[in-house]
Parts: sequence; C-alpha cells; structure tokens
Amino acid sequence: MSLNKMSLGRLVGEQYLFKWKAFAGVFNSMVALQLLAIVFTWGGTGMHGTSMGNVSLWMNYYSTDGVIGLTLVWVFFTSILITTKSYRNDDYLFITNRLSSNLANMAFLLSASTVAGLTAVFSQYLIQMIQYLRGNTFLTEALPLTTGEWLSGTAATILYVLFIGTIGYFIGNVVQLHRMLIIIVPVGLLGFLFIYDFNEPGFVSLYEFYFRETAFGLFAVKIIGTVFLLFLANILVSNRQEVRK
Amino acid sequence: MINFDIVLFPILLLAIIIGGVVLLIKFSSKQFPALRRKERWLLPLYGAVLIACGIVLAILDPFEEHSASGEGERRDFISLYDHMYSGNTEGIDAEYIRKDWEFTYSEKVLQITSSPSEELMASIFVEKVAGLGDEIEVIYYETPLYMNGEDMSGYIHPPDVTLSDGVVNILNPGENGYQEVELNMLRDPFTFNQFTGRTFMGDENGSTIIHGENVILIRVGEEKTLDLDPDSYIEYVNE
Repeated sequence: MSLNKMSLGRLVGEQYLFKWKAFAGVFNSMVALQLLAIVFTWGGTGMHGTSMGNVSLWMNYYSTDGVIGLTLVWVFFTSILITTKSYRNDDYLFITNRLSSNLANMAFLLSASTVAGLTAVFSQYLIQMIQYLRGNTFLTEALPLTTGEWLSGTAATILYVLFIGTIGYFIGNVVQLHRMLIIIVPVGLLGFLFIYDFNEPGFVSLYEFYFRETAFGLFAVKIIGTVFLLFLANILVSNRQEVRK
Repeated sequence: MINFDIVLFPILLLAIIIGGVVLLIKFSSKQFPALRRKERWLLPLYGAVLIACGIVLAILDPFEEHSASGEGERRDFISLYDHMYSGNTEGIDAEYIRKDWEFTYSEKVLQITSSPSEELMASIFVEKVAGLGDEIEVIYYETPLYMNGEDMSGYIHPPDVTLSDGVVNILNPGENGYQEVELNMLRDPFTFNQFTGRTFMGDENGSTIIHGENVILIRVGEEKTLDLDPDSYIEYVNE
C-alpha cells in the first residue's frame, strides 16, 4: 500500500506520459503503412483518358485516400493492441485504477489520432514531391481549398482516426471480458461483413449519419458524441474485468 | 551534356532534404534524450520529411494551375463542321484559331497530303477563294476538349504544315505522328470532399469528357488545280 496520495489528474498525466514513451514503437508501424500506401500511389490512384485520331490524353489522379485508409486500419489494430494483457500490466507500474487507466489510454488514442491524421494529410506533400522528382507535370486545383476547408478537412481526418480507434479500443476491451470472446467477436464481425445486406435501411441510415454529413460542425458533434459514448461503455466494460492475478 | 534543371536539380534537392532531416534529428537528439533511442527516430524523421517537402514545394511552386470551366461554357462552343459544310468559314470566331500559316506558291498544280495520312488529329477542308492568287492560307481551328471540367486543349500540340516542292504537307505532331499526353493531378481525400462537395474524379457536372472539334482549313486561289491525297480524307468546304 502506498502512502502517496495522488490526484486523478496527476495520475492520468503520468500514465499518459509513460504510455507515450512505452508505445512509441506503434508509430513505426504507422509510418511503414503510410509509406506503403504512398508507394501504391506511385502510378496514380485513378485514371481518366481519351483519344482522338493519333492523340491520346491521360489524366492520372493522386490522392491520400489510400494513406488515410491504411491509417484507419492501423489505428483499429493498435487500439485493440493496447487493451491486451501485456500492455494493461504496464499500468501497474503506477498507482492506478481502471478509470485512470482508461483515461490515459483515451488520451493516448487522442494524441495518436492527431499524429496519424496530420501525417496522413501531410503525406500529400511527399506524393507531390515524388512526382516532381520524376519530372511529371502536375496540375493544381483551379479552386484551391480555403483555409477553413483545409482546417475542417484535417480535423475530420483526425476525428475519423479517433472514431475508428475508439471502436477498436471498445472491441479490445469487450474481448478481454472472456477468453471465448477472442474467437466469437472476430468471427461475428467477419460473419456480419459477409452475410449482412449493406443496402438495409438501417445500415444506410447509419452510413449517411456519419459519412454523408456535409456540415463539419454536425459531423464533429456526431463523432465526438459517439466517441464519448463508446468511452463510457469502455469504462463499464472494463469494470467487469477480473482483477490482475 | 547533362541538363542541370532536369536531372541534377531534383537529385540535389532530394539529397538536401534527406541530409537536412538527418542533421535535424541528430541535433534534436542532443536536446531531447528520448530521441537517442533509434527506434524513436522514425516518426520525427518521417514528420520532418513531410514538412520539408511541403516547404520546398511551396517555395518552388512547380505546378501548373488549370482553369476549370462552367457547364454552360463547356456546352456553348460552336460546331466547326457546321461552318465548313455550310461554307460559312468567315463566320468562325478568331478565338478558335489555334495556329495559322501563310505560303506563296506560283505554280498552277498544288498537291495536298498529310503525314501520317491514315489518322490525322484534325479534319482537313479545302476552300477555293477568289482573289487569293498565289497566296495559300492554312488555319488550324480548335474548340476546347474538356476532361472532368478541365480544358485540356493547351496540352495538345497542334499539327505543323509545310510547303515543299508543290506539296502542302500537314504533319501530325509527336513521335511517329503519335502524340501521348499524360498529366497528373492531386485530388483531395474523402475526408475533405465530404464537406467541400468535390468528388475524386471531377465534380457532379464535369465527370465526363467533352471532345472539341479540330479542323484544318486550307484556302487557295480559285485558279489553282488541286491534287488531293485520297488517303488523307480531304474535303471541300460547302460540299
């Protein structure tokens, strides 16, 4: 029993700093995945062309969609990873409880999402530089993004990463409840993907609720609200976990 | 002779970016002990490369800005063929003239051909004009080609026309008379498009290709006798 009396805020702060150092390795896999996506965009991610007589005209389109996509995959599995026993046991280096551990993990996920989202957006500069070094003619948009559009797009990217990360963290926590869930949850998810009709009105509404929202403010409220609810669910789920043996 | 701009400059630029970032990390690792562990280098290194690329691109600004046109502008261009078949060549607006040539030729018989003859990038029309005498006028008209709402005409080289040994020869540009134009464009990711309303390939109104018309008009004096290459599909105006 420790004689030190620590506030929750200080405890979470120390755990967060520790996690930031201890989990630094997960960013190496993120960089590797983003670089892999950049390599995949070498020849363009879309193409449109025409020919007339002996003139052919091709337009190659490049985007960071692939980078963002792989970043979402990365954050999903990383979030599950930090709920595993070996990572959880690191928390016992500190005076801890499940609330402080969850808060520190969420703070780490928020920071990781910010880093991952920003690097995914900035990866466009590397893609453009590669094309410039290859000597390709690159066109820019006739109507460039305004500062507001750029900021909302970047923030949306970060929110998407946080959203998927929180879902992964929730699944990771649920799986920790019982050993059998390690099999049941992935099989259930894969089965759902195979047999579910994604044209069902329920899914379409859910898809449109998040991914068709065109007002950034509403989108942010929806994502942050969902993340908050999932976080509360995480606290409830982790309270049902057995104590450390 | 090595062209510095094309070959050496990009390589030098790459070396400066990589070298600068490595030096920055080395310097930073002295200030921040956490960076002394090499497995923690990758993220700062990657971030520094991305930022360095952004700064270099902002300074060099090597990209061409294209101009997207409105739907109305795209649909409003004239039909060059209508003018050719109706004989109203004088009524074509000068803004559609991409290139023109003038020659003087005093012999009576004039041959006209194209090279390669099978497929020329433009239709060829001939018009006999009273009072033109020994003058030969060749005009290349072009209405814009739009791809996803973007005017691509400027990237297509016009044909060339020569007069030699009594033969007007219309030459297709490009290697072996074949022209391949490849352009690149960075599109915003879906996380941006969701709020800007843009799509990956073109906008709602411009996700199509609208071909323009390309016509070469050769105007000669009415007293000339013309020998037209049958493989070049040359037509007379107003016929």
